[in-house]
Amino acid sequence: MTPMNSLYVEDDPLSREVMRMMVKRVPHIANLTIFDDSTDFLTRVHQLNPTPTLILLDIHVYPMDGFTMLSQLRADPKFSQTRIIALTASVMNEEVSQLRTRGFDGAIAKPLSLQSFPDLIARIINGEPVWHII
Amino acid sequence: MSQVRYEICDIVSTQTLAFFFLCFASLILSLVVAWFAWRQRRFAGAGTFAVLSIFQALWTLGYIGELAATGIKQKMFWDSFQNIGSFSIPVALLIFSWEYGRARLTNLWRWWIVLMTLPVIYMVIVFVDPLGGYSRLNAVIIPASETSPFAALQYGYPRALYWMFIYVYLVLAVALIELIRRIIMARGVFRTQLILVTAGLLIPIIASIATLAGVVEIYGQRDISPLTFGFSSLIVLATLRRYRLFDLVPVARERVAEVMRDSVLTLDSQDRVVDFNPSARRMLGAEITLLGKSAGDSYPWLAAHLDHTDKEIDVELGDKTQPTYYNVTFTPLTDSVGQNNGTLVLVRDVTARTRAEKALETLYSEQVQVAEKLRAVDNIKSQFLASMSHELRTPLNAILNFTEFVALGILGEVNDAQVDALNKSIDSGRHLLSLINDVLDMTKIESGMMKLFVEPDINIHAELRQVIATAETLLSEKPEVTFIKDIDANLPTLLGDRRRLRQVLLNLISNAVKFTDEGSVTLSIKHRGENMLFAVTDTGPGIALADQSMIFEPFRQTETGIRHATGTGLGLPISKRLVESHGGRLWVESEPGDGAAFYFTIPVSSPELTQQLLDTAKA
Repeated sequence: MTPMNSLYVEDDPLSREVMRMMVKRVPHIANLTIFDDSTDFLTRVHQLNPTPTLILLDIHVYPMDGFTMLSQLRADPKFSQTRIIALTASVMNEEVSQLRTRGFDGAIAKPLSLQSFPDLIARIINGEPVWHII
Repeated sequence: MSQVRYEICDIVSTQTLAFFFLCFASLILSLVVAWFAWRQRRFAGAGTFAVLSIFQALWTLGYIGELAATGIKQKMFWDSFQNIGSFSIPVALLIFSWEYGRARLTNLWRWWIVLMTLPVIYMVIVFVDPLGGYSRLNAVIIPASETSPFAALQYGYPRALYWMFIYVYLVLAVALIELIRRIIMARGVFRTQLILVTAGLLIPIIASIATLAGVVEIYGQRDISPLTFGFSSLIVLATLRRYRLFDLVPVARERVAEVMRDSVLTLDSQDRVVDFNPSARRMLGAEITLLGKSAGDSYPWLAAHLDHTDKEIDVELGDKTQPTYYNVTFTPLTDSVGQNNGTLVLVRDVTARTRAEKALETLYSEQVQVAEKLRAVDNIKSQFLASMSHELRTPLNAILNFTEFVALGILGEVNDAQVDALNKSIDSGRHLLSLINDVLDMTKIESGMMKLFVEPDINIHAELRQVIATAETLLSEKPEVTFIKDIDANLPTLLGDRRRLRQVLLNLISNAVKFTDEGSVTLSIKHRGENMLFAVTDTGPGIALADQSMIFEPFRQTETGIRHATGTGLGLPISKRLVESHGGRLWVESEPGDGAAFYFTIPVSSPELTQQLLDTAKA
């Protein structure tokens, strides 16, 4: 399995830092680009080369939230093969069911755990649906 | 001479006979009318009218008697006899005018007594002392002559008799005014009827006045009233037959208008008030002076609607704080050729009803507003919960993640004591996280905002992997407690919220592990008919019967629970509600000192249940 290009959008600096440390322990992710601004991400994502294979989206991002970003990504055929995963600190059921119905490929609840995160990513890359929300 | 005298006698006897015949006819007609009226005496006025006719008959009888009598004593007797009729007729007429077409007068006899006292006293005086100073002055007999075939009794009128005339004519005047007033107020057939009856009754009165005034002279100042009784009675009788004077109809109709609580105003074609009922007096303050006045001027709120059309309107009157509401019906009255000759206005006071309706409307709109506010508050609460959930977790997640990195030595070497301390931090952090989850869950359940994320066909075996892994981790710290799994192979799929089902199982297992120091914790899952039966059994201290219901109440913990002091006391209430929202049941069976068994059921997948749960989830 080839290590892949990944993107992560997160507006909380601490979460970005956690992810930076965490991703070093994930063998499947070779290159993770982190965006701190959802608008900036959306203007640039379409031009990115090579096309990312995995995109991790925080849901509670401003000004555009995870759902808006998802729908824009899904509108671009370029990302038809890209796995788009929601990272959320929220466990409200309404939101979880929305994640599914709006078309995310999976979701991982925060806090991320070093014990489970690398394994979850591996499963995602294998094409398994991962709804790790407890 | 004798020849001439006989001739005179012949002429006289012919005239006399004709005159007598007229008088008898009059007498008989009066009696017929009296009989006719008496038969209908159950109708107001009829009885009085019969009495009136009897008085007429008595007067006529006296008249005939006086004509026939020759001696002065006899003549005076019959003259006095006539008084019985002549003085009583006006009284009878007055009482009739009050009675006719109305409700029966109560205490009628009192009026008779009051009004008849004076006439009766005078009649008695005249009978007892026919030649006294109160009765007759200088009474003489004027013998029959060529001009007068009858010997006439002539006397001067004493002052007392003049007073009696004044009394009698006053009574008569009041009666006539009353009759005319009633004619004005009556409508249609009743008005015609009243006019004819009044006219009939007026004839003898006019004749009487004419005689008194000397306009008519017959046989030397003879009163011709009794003669006219016949004609008068004929007219009245004809009217009675033609218009059925004493039929129930006018009385009943009038009575309806009299007793009804709605106001009735009768307007003529010029919209002037011609009649109103007692309710109009009470409700609209109508006075007798209203008669003949323009309805629109008297009641401005009617003015705009007086267009001679059939309609119903609602009006609001008075000040805004205490308004009065009327429902007004206009019924145009048309004659046989369709010409409008008035309007019947029915005013119903609907204040009480309308106020109640308005109060209800106000209450309703207030309730709608309250409901809207509650919905808004609910939304705010929902949003608040979502954001609290997020805001509380984000810093806690950072704490947990960084502590974990340090503890794992990623950020540099740590010694065992440090790792131990850091792990305790992580445990506390995770505990805090679960407390936050529980409190949020309970809040959502309590406010009815708990929504399941329902999936059909959940493979319980797959879900159990994580639960069992967690249970084994928990039990690894308690080597004296064994974990027994008694799970049927090939369990059917379930319908529900995976995460919530795992949450319930983990809660029950962690409770069991928490309270059990030696022995075992057993997880058993069986397929039982339409349900899957889950049981978590422990060999802990058990739960006293008194506490068994308390443990399912939010924020309550038993003494034992408090001693263990890890938890919010929310795990069981949440689990119970979660199971129930899946359509299942959760209960406990326990004896103190003999462990506890928590059971719950979850219905296995079925199309109906799927629909039901999906609907609930959507709502």
